Amino acid sequence: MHIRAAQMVPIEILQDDMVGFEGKLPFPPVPNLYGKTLLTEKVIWGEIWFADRSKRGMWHSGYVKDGALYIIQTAREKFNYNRKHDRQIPTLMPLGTYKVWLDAWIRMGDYIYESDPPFTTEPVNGKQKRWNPPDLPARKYWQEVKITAPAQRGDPCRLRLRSRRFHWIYRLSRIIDALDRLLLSHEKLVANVAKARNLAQYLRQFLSVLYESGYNMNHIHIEDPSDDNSKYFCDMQIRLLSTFNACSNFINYGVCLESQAPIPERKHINNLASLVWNLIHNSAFGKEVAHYDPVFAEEHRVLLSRLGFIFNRIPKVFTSVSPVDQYQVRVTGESFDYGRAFACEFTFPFFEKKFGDAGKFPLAKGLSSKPASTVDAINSARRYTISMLNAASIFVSKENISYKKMSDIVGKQIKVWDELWGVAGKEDDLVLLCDEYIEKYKQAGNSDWVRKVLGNRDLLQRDATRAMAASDPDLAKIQEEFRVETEKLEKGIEYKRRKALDVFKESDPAFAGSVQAIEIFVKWAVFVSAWNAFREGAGHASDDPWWIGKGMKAVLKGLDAGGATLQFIGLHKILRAVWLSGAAGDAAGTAAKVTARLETLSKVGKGMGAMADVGSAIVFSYDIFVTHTYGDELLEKYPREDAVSVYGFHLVTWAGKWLVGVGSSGGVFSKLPIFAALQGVGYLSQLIGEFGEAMAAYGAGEHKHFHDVHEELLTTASQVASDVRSRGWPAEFYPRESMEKVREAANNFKWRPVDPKLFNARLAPPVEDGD
Amino acid sequence: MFELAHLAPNSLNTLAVPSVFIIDLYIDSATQHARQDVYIVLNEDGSEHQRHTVADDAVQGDDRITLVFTGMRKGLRYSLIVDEGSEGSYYVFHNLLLDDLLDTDANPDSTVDAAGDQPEPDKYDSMALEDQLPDIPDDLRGHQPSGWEIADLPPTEGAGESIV
Repeated sequence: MHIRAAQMVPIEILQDDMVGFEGKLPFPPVPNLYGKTLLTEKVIWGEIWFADRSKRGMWHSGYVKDGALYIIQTAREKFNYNRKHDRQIPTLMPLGTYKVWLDAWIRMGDYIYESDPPFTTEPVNGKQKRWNPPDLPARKYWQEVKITAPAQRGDPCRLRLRSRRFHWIYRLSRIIDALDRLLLSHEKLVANVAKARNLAQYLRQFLSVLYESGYNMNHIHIEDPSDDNSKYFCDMQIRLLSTFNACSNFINYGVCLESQAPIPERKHINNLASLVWNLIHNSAFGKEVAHYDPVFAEEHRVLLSRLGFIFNRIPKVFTSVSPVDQYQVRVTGESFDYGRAFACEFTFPFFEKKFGDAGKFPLAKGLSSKPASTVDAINSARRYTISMLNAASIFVSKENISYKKMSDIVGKQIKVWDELWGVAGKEDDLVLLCDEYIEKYKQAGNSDWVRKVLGNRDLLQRDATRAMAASDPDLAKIQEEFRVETEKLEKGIEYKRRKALDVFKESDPAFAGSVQAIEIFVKWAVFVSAWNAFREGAGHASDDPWWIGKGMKAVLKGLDAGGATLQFIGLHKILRAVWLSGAAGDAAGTAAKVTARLETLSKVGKGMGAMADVGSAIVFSYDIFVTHTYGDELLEKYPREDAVSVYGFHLVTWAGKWLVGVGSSGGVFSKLPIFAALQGVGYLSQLIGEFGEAMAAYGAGEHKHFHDVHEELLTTASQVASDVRSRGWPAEFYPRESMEKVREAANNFKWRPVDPKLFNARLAPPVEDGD
Repeated sequence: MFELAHLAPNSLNTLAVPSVFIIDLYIDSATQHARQDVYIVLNEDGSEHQRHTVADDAVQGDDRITLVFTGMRKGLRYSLIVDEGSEGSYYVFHNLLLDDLLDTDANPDSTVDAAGDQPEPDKYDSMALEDQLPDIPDDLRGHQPSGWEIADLPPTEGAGESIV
């Protein structure tokens, strides 16, 4: 009986997301050029783990290099075996089913270059050591593969694996590195060709100058074209011109003559550039950059900043080039303009966003992205459209009613009410009258109405009192007197300094109610926002001033919202009381009781509001004078002089907060209009402070931004200049149009004939008189 | 007929003896593997049972190299080590019952644990960590030279061809 204990095969590991990439290359791969190994679907470099799912139960770990597998550790239960080796020959693996985890390029200590410095000196994961990749995830996430026998002897078993961690960046890094080398070589070549072109151009112009120089260069200024000298001269000119054109063609199009094919190196460079281009458009690449950015931030910056330079240096290449005239060629199959596309897709949008951010009103910046900012914005609108206008409306009152006059009217009113009640207060009369009315309603068939009326003595009293007042001449007189006095009172109230909402409460209760409901809704939203901000900082130490400030703010916003709600409930009771006392004199006692309760309720609500306002001012002061967080933040964001101006407006807001706090507190204990006025001024001050601060921050942000952009552009310019210098390129690279203008100017330039005598007289060395 | 020393204690199935035990290598005889690799079967106590090189191909001219080992018995445990000379050596399997090896060969798709390849969550951080991975020995944790020297550049560099 023959049994097989193991079948061993060589392994080739392909990177799943690189398979089929050739279809995206603009040109067929060019063999035997530097960087050709990057045009591969094989895993270039990575760490790999195998878990054997068969009864063998083995673990293998090692690395992948250029698609080949190298196992360095084998384990099973407590057995652990490490391979020691000096060279590397790919390892064979037995057939079977495995789970595999591949990290295409991880800087694990074992695989790092010998002389690499420690990756970072910053403590990572709490320890001062080299960064290590995170632990392996659970095996359920590993990819399952089958190692099978190859169809032909010597062929490897190809495993197509997804690379899980950190694999795009290393490809990008390698490709850019290869492009750098290729481009450096290419640019040196182009620089030398450019020198040759300039020389040809100078010589040609020099010859033209000589030709045009007139009789002082008679030996080459020959009119007869059959003359040998003339032929030589023309031949020189033609050769120089064709040299110039050949050089220009090479620089611009990669060919010297139209009969030639573009040089393969350019196609190779374009292939590699295409790889980079496709790679940076891969969404997985974007996710990877975002994921590892906190750890590899600087490496990412370096790589991404190099992209722009690389793309700008990718030379053009064409499928065919044919001359049109002496100065122009026609090209077909132009290669992709990477530099321009990169600028359009990445650089310009980046600056666009920067400029857009700089030009956006700060208040509007976070409206869509941050709910807390939205609540802040709505709250600002609430403060300045409702609260401030409400409190400031006191200034628009024309006349102030004297307290004495108010007292007189109220006295008369009380007298009228007393007299009225003196008549109507007799219980027996009232009961009789009520019965009479009930009977009347019953006869009219309004049984339901009677039931309701019986359940509400206030209503009964109102109708009864109204009937008494109407039937009794004495009472009618009192009623008339009361009506007159009431009109006077109402007239007085009109001129009393009152808040706008108070006026609306009487003239249009529904509108006033809606406004107050909006105010309350916003205040609760502010409370929720403040509470969330407090909860988000839950990790802070309990004595952290920042956190304390957040907590205080949340409590105060709750107080504010609660106070407003209580006052709102009071408003509804006022409405009911107004309805109850529909006619003058009706149910005045009940109304008075309700009013008294309302007064208390209103004071509680106002008190809570006042505490919130004062507290808010205290927290604002706390932020400014204790934690300094805002000032520090400003100094980080803006230049010092800009930060100071922003901070000035912040102090104006701070003053406004205190004014509102004082006005609000005073309003609880006294109805003196000065307190309402203080509130109004406070809100006005806050408006000025916040608006000014926003505008100053806008200016400062813009200033800072333009400063940064300017600095960035200067740095870029200087980098480009040094780059050009280090490559030995001539600095005078002009676009074709400029060159043509120069050429045209040179061609049209007429050399003035020179008189030899005058020439000698002016420029020749002085002739000494002979002794 | 059999040496008693190879019998497992209390084992009753030792009479079902395979006549030969084969390792198939799907490699070319011209590869580095073919030139220097030595395949050694070890007994449970670590002593060498038998060794073969690629030159011992039992079936010439087919699509593989066939190494034939003899004298192995069910109920006993074996290990297979591949010695690559200067490359070092590694284990293909370790201390396995011959019965399990036979079973694995007869059913190459058979598995003894749960399937893998479950979709990954969006965030790597939310993945559970592997808890079955054997400990990495200390000498592999640190910065050890692995033969990957600066002079021995990765495959993308030093290709040797002219650049342009």
